[in-house]
Amino acid sequence: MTKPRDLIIVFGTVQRVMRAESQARKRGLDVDVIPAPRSVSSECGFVIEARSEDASRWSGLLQELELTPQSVFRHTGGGWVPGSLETGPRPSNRPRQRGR
Amino acid sequence: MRRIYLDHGATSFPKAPGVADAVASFLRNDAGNPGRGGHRLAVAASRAIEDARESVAELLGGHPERTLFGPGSTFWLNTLCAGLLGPGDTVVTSVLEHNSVMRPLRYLEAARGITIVTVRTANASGVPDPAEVRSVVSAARAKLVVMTHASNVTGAVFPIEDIADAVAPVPVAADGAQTAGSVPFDFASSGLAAYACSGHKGLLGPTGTGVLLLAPPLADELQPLVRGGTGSRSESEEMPVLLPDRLEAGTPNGAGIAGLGVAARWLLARGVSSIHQHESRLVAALAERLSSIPGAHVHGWDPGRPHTGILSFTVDGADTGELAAWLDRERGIMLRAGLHCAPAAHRWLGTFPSGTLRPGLSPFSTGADIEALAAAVEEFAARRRST
Repeated sequence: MTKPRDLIIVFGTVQRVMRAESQARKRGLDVDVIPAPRSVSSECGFVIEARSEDASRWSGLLQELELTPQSVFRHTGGGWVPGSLETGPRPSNRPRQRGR
Repeated sequence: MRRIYLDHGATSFPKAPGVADAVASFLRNDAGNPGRGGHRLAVAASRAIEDARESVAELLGGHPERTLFGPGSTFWLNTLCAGLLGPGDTVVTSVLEHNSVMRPLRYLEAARGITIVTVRTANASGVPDPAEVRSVVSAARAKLVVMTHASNVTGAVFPIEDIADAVAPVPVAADGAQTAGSVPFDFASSGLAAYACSGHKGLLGPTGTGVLLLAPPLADELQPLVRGGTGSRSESEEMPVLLPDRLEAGTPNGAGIAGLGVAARWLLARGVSSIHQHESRLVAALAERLSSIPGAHVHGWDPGRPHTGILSFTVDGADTGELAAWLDRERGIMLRAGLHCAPAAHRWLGTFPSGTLRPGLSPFSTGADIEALAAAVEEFAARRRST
C-alpha cells in the first residue's frame, strides 16, 4: 500500500496553489490539490498535498518560481503540525476560516 | 454565396481551433466554481483557469500573478481610469481613442474633476511621436497616460514602448484591444505600467473575456472597480491584498477563460510575428487595391507605419451603412460601417459623423477574401458614378 502524502503547503491564493501544482507535476513530483483540512490555516481553501521526502525539491521549485508558502504542515502523530520545507515542526499560526 | 467575414476588428470569427471544444468541455466536465469549496470540480475549474492564465501570460509577456481575467478590455480600462485618477489629476491621451477609454475619462472629468489633455499630432495619422507625448505630459504635469496601442479605425500602431520610455516615470496604460495576438508585443520589456486587451479579438478566444497585465509598482496600488467574493480570505470584509484576487471579485467566466487558454496556446504555436506579417501583407494589398478604385478613399493610411489588419475607407456618394448592407446581402461580405465607437478618431480623420467602412483581417483571411471585397467595392463605386 502506498504511503499517504504527509506534507501540506499553503499559499494565499488559488493562483499560487495551481501554479505550484502545475510546475510540480511537470517535474514529476507526486502532488495533489485538496481542500484545506480544518486544522490547517488557509486563506484560499485549497492546499498542496505532497510528500515529505520531496521537501527539498519543493523548496528548490518554489524558490525558482519565486513563490513563498504561507505555511507548511507535516503529518505527525496523527495530525497536521506546523513545519517548514527545511526543518521539523515549528509553532502554529492562528487557524483561519476557509473560503467559500 | 460564399460567406466572407471581415469584421475581426469587432470580434474574431472563426475562433482559434479547439476554442469551441474547450468551452464545451469546461461546461460538460469542469464547471465547478473555481476557488470556492475544495471538491474536485472546484479544483478542476481552478486548474482550467490557471492553465489559461499561464498560457496568456506566456503569450503576452505578463507575470502569471499579474495577468488578470475579466469580462473585456472595457472593464479593465474602466478599472485603470477609476482606480488611478482622482480630483485634480491630469491624464494624457490621443486623438484616436475608442470610447472604452474616452467614456470613462469623460465620466471622471465630470464626476471627479480630472483634466483630460489630448496629444494633437503634427502628422495627419493622429499617431503621436514619443517626443510629442513627453512634451504634453511634462507641460500638463500628468499623472497618467492612457493610450491605444493601435487605432481601431485606421489600424495604425502606436510606438507605445517608445512612448512609455519617453514619459517615464509617468505610468502608461495601453489599450491593446486591437493588437493583442495580432502585433508582436512583450509586456515584460515594454516599459508599460498596464496593458488591457480583449480576449475575443486578436486573441481568438470567446466573447466575454478580457485581460489586464500589470507591472509594479502600479500592480501593488491599483484598487478594484468591483468588490466581492474571491474564495480567499473569507473571514475578512475587505478585498484581499494579493493578486489576482484583489482585482477578480465574483465568479469568473470559466468556460470563456478555458477557451481563451486554448486560443493562447494556438497563437503561441502559430506565432504572433507570423500572423502580423500575414495580416500586414494582406491589408497593405487591400489599401493599394481600394485606393486604385475611382471614388474610393482609404483614411489615415500611412504605408510607412506599422498597421494591424484593419483599415477604413469610404466611397464617394455612398452611405457607409448602405454599402455595408449591400456587401453583406449581395456579396456575403461582413464588415462594420459607422463610427466604430471612436467618434474622436473620426473627428480627427474628417469622417465624422458619417463614418467609414472598416474591414478587419485575421490569421484566416486570404488574398481571395480581400480581392472579393475590392471587386465588390469597385462594382458598387462604378454603379454610383453611373447614377
